[in-house]
Amino acid sequence: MIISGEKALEAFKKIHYVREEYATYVNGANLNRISVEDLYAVVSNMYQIGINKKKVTFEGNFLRGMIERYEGRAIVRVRANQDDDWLRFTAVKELCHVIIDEKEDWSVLGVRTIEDLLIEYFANIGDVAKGVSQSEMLAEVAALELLYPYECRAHDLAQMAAKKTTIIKIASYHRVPPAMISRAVDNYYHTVVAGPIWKQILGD
Amino acid sequence: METNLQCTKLAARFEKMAADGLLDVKFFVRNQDEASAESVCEEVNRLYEAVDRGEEVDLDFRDSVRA
Repeated sequence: MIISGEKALEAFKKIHYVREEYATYVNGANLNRISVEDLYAVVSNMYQIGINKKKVTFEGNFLRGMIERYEGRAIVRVRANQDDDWLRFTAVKELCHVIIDEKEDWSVLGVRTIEDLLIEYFANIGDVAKGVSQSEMLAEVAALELLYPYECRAHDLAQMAAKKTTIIKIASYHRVPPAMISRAVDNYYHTVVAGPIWKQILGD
Repeated sequence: METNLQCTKLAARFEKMAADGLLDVKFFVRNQDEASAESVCEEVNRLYEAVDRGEEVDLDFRDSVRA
């Protein structure tokens, strides 16, 4: 699936603003190791929305987490039996819906959302994804861009090429699942997707 | 014979939640190539049943660095 360039640019800009606010909120912050607690506080303040997050014990192979939004508040629920780094990533990914979604992306038709997500996964391979999948894909990408800064990647790629670091070590440092680090340093994503967008926002 | 019982049950729950003020709901689904709508709905139902039983706790990462 391909992300719409225009929507991706807008999402990355919002992430950039959140990172700037986070840096101010946590004076002297290490932006390479984001505090999920502080990030939630920053987003809650920026968007004037109370956000609760919960860990729920249930068996599941597919559902990592979900978010419900109401007027002035949201609740994030995360499946309990996941590794710590996936608990963190899921919590941040759901938070990113508060950051990047506009009202046109909202829907109370949860079952339709699930159906469309699965249909669009197969229907849009090679094409720009539609509606629901855009929102979900962008939230995942946004979480990745928040937790693993773009500016770290060129150095990490060079270090990996020189066999001085590994995906696992990078993942451990940034507290991000290795699978998501792999996605970030994938050549297509790094050079064709993320790189040009960050260049537009940050300049050379 | 109805084969989408879980989706039907979940749709009814969301309809009630919308009447009570729900504006949006989003999901993080892994292994989408293996999942069916019915299986994902079943897991969402399990999540809500656990919540109804009180089997949820605050998720606190205890990682704040703000002085």
